[in-house]
Amino acid sequence: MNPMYIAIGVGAVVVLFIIFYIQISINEKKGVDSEDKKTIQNIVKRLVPDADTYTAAYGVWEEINFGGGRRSITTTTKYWYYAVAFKPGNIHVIPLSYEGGDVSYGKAISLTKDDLGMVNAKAGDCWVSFYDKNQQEIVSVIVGPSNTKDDKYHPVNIQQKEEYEAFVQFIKEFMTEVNESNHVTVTGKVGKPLKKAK
Amino acid sequence: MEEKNLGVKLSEAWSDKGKIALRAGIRFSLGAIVVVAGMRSNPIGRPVSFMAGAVAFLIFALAAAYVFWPLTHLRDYVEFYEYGICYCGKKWTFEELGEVSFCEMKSSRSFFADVYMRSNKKSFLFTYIKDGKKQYNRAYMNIYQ
Repeated sequence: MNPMYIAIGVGAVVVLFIIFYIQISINEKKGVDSEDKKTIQNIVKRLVPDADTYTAAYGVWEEINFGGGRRSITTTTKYWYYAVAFKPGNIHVIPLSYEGGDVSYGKAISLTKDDLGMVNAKAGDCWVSFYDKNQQEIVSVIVGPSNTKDDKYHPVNIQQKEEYEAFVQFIKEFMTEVNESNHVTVTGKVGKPLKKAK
Repeated sequence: MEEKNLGVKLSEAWSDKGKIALRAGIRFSLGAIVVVAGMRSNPIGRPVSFMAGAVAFLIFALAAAYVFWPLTHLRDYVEFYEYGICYCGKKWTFEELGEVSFCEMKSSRSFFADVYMRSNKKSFLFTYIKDGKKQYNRAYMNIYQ
């Protein structure tokens, strides 16, 4: 093979990588004090009483399912978007929708220890699933430190390292509080909160 | 038949004529390329037999249906009401529909994704409706301004 073609190919990959890296860096910088972040904070202020006493953060949830038959595999990915407000013992989860330039929000799901039968999470991770007294799932959410506008399914630039760390700590304490009061032990595995009885 | 009371109309969305024209145009272009390529290697003449002519006509009819299929959605529309929706003239209450969600489905055999509003009762095709989900959000959720 002609070495020039190899050089052109490698050069193209390097250039694409640099462009991709620069784009991510720009999006990350934009997310530090972005309009998207202020939108989340303002939505929390509108819906949550005493919002100043809460930490507001952006949350998501993604669910991937595989299906199909022998000849084709169907991948289904579902996305949920949330504004999350939390403080020790209390969390509000507000569903969001990003569509056609509009940001819309629904009613807040407000949860305290008394509403919950179980909290499934892994200590140190930033995801959590809340279950009611009948062990039916209410809502699941991830609060990650970095969100960039990669595509239409990742619609915001929000950097929230402090909020992420606060959320991880909140989940650890809240999970312990709820599960101990309900005498439940969770697995810490997504979608499988309890061990199957043998 | 009992008239369904859907309450006050909250918003509406109509067919996306630009998208319909684009998709029909792309299908027409692809079809034209195939036809022209076929004609260059097989110049048109009288069919060998009636059966051959009938098969050729059937293929042509199916191809025409495929090409012009998006145009059948020019009259698609949806109206969102307090207690339900009216989709292309048929009314549905939220009691009938149950939980509603939106999804985009893209096949590996297609360039474009299709958009559906799914419910427990039925899935409604929203691909050719302009800003369908946006109007749904404006009807039933709070818009941040």
